[in-house]
Amino acid sequence: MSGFSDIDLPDAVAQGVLRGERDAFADAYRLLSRAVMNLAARILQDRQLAEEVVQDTFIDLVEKSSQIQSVGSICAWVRRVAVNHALMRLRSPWHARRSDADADDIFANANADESMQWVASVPTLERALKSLGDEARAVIWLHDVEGYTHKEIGELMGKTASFSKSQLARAYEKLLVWQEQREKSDAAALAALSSPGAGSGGGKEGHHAKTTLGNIGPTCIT
Amino acid sequence: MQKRPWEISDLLALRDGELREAGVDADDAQAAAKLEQIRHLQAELNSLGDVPLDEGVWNTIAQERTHETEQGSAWLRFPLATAASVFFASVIGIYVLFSDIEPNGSASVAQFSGTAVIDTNGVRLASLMSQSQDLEMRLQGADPWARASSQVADASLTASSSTSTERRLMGRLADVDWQIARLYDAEVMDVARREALWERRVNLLESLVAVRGGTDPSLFEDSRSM
Repeated sequence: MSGFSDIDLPDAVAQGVLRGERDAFADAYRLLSRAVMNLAARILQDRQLAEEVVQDTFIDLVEKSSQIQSVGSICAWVRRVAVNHALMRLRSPWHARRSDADADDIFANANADESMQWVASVPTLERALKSLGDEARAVIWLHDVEGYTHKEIGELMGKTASFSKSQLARAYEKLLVWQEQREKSDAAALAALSSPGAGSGGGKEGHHAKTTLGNIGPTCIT
Repeated sequence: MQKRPWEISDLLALRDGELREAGVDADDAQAAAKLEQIRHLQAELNSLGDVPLDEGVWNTIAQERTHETEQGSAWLRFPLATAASVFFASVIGIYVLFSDIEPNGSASVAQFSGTAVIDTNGVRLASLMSQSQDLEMRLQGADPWARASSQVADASLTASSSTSTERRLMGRLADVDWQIARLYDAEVMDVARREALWERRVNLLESLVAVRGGTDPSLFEDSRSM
């Protein structure tokens, strides 16, 4: 996954951004936008909102690049602005009202929630992440993936470092339960495969069970 | 050595190096296993795939910037008219400022001008706040969400472009609200910026009312000028 820590903004691009050059902004967008999108989409769990965050973040970069102190701080500045835009959307009453409307749409029309189709096709940890509360999800992502400290997260969210710590613990409690369930279901699938009845019906049935399990993941079948 | 059972928060603190003197003992296999699970989950989170990003986002940003630049350069295209406007505005301003000054009161100049500025800003801001409140009441009174769910059957009323515009407008409103809240947190209030933000809020709410009322959604395009 593209993250901010993997990005090395070339000096020419960084200098161009500070000088307000259009081509440099385009290059900066090409290099940084994916990391911004990943951050925003994981926090917000809404692709359309995340794209808005990408858009607003880079509009800010174009408009306020003169505020950036040095070439070395561009990535940190962009990440900070992106986090602020994402958190602002998360805690907005407009976001809550819109989310309610989205829920209506999802049940009313199967095609209404196109922005979330990517979640259905991604690994299950993504869905476990989605099931966390908004704040717990934001904290686990900012702390464990983006590398923010609890103090920084507390400041970003207008709360304390203790709040951040408790949200992180809450997130892991849920994720550990999810992981336990995942391990149990994997074990049950393996047991079904290795039980005498699984292959007794002849080649076809046994072959079907093996093929189905093959979709679970490389750890299930060696 | 820790006597009480290991909590998740303890294990997280241990993982993050906050409990340097403590450690999970060899005989505390359960805690060690849980710590390993936490580390494994963190690694999994870091290795999740990229979320697809629409290729048109940069074009939208570039177009928006071009649009604003063109709007901003309108003054520069008519430099003589601009210079004349500034000159006449200055003359009128100076006339208004000095026409009421008493002959012996040089100190009253500052007093007069300062009060005028504060009063003007106060009235303007109050008016914007009132407009904002009225528009919000209109939006709430119309109960758009209830109306939307009752109109789901009518595909023409839930067109994706309209929903998309509403989403964008609400995102922008949240952004403005956040910026306003930050202004109030600041040590020194930036009065001009506060007024500009409230004006933008009113514009956005008007656009939202228009979009929900079936008016041309392109109104929104002009409201994002900051």
